[in-house]
Amino acid sequence: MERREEVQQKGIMKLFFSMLWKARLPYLWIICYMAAAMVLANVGIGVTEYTAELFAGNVSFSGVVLPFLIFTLASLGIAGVSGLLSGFCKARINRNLRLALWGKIVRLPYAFYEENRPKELLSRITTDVTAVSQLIMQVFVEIFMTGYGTILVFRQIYSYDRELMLTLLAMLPLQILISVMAGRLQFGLRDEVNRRQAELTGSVAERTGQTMLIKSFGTEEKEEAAVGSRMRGYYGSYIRNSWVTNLLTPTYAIAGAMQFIILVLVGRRFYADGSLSLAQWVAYFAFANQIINSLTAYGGYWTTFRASQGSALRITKVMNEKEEDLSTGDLVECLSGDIVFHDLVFGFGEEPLFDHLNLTIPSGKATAVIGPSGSGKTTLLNLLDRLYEPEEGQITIGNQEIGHFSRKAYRSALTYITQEAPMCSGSIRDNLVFGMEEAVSDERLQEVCRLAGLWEFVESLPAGLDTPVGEAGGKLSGGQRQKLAVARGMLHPSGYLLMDEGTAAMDTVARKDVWDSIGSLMRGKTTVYVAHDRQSVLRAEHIVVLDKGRVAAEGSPVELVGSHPYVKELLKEAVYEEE
Amino acid sequence: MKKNKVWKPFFGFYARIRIPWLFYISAAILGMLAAEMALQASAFTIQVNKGELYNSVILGYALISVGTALLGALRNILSEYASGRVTFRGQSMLWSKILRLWQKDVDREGPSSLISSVTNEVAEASNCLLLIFNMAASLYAFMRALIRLFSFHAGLTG
Repeated sequence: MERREEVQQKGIMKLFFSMLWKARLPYLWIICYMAAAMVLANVGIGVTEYTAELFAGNVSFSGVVLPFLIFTLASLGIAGVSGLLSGFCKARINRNLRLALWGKIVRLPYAFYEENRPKELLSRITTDVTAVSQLIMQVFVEIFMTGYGTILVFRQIYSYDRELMLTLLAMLPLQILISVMAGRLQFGLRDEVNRRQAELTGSVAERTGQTMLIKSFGTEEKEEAAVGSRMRGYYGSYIRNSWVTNLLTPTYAIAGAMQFIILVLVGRRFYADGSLSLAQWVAYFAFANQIINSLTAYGGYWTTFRASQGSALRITKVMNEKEEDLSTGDLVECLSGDIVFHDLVFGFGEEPLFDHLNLTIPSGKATAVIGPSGSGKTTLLNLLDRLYEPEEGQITIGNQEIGHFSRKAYRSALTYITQEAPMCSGSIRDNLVFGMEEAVSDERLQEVCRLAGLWEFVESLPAGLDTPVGEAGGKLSGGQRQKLAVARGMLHPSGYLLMDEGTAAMDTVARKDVWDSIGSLMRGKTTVYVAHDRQSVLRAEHIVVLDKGRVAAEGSPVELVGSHPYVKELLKEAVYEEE
Repeated sequence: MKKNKVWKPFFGFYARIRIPWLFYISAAILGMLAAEMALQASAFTIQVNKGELYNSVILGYALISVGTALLGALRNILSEYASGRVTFRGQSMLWSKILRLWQKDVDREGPSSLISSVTNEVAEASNCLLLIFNMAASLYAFMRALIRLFSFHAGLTG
């Protein structure tokens, strides 16, 4: 079991480094930072040597004081530059990783968002990216730099005495042991803190978007308790992490004190027999402290490495998800003909929803897809828009398999107005022209708004088309959002219109007007829509009744009203009225 | 008038939640004790740098280092308990308030802003309190260091 986990970890690490490669790290900046840090380490040796001379009472101006000043000033200057470069590197790594991660997230298949908690992706982009940039700059790069500095110090001490250097080397195992133990302890805890924070963010985000539902059902206390338990979980992990992190400091101090005692006892012997001068002793003591600090820093790197591993793994997991291929495939030159589902199999669990579905949606007509909830109506439209991929079988339009087209080109050839009428924060104009590559004139916007029955409302607003819609269109009513979504759909004229309950939130008059507009715009073209209301269903020239993923009936409204109980119930009054 | 508009809600936030003063004050006192220990350590450092490597100096230096680290760790734990509790209580209070806001206010503020208030801004507010107590401890350490410098030579403090 452990072996398998180890292999998985190795695999993940490989994927992690491959992800870093894809994220285009600022290698040039990192090299510049490393070069500055190397120069700083060399200058630091000089500063320590001249400081030791001063401590030993050597105050020769040209031989000690002046070089000390020059080295100290140079050290300060280079430290400033190196700090600046390090800051640049971290900022650029954060930016590049966030760009790469966001680029990946927007290309993930629709199913990914349904299977995972999209709100937790917020933490991937914010907290986890910061942890990974810390991992790169404060672990990977610093390990190299500290190693370089340590070698320089060892070389310097070796120039005093070989035995002194060996004493310092002998201390390495204790420090490594402490670091590994600390890393093991901290990994789980820091990861838990990050995970709990992501859960809290996700939990708050999910409920804040549903305040109306909470108020309607009077579940304030329940939701308060649910998020409260997440807050308690986060607080508990934060405190546990605090205990472990802070108790490690005295542990390192005890190890450092033991190392100090050994160093001084060894150095004292050399100093006592005159092998070391006072200046060399002071320099040795300063260098030895530097070595202890470096070893402690290595412990910190290991701890940070282990603690950041969770974030790195979570980001790597997202980055290695298979993304939708938007560009491969044929361009859509002419899309026309019947939509045909051939032996299509698709489902969300073990039992398929569509089990060898065969269905033809006639070209040039308005087809209503109706049926009870859960019968697969929205899934059918999502399959048609290639948001889902069939497990078996295929969908053709006019004998062309839709899977052969590039997704981008295919989706541009269709207009899909979804159930939720999704909005982005911005103005009415921003939401209307969403996804448009070319500029759209105000006259054209006015025209589609009129067709969707939205213009009267837009005209009444002081800022007109430039009125902000609020976050997720929160300032608009459900009906207004749907009208805006319909108007947005009308800006993308195509031969195929898919609409999922796109007029459900509108009043009867508005719905009639919108259907009149759609009828005139889509005359001779193909419209496939899901509806539950009589008014919309009666607009259909063809009806498909779905029941548990099967086609229960299909035909014209008049044909079906007497043959299927669901249709009969839905349409009988309307048909009688019409007659 | 404008100043009041900024400061009143600021202090109002702290007035509404139970602040673990004992943790904050204890952390500040430990910070002051750590400053005293650091001053003691400087005496040993001088001796080591002068080559006075007696057993008592070596042991004293080592013990002071460990003691300072222990005090520092305890201080950090107390500070984090204090911050953690203020954050937790602030988050709970704010979340309870958000759930009971008028829908109109929720729509006006926007869900993202409310999420950020619960997850980030409350933590910032708890750090603000810690900063005040840390400042008190740092000021004490600074004054004690000046007094020590004065004891070496009066001119060094000027």
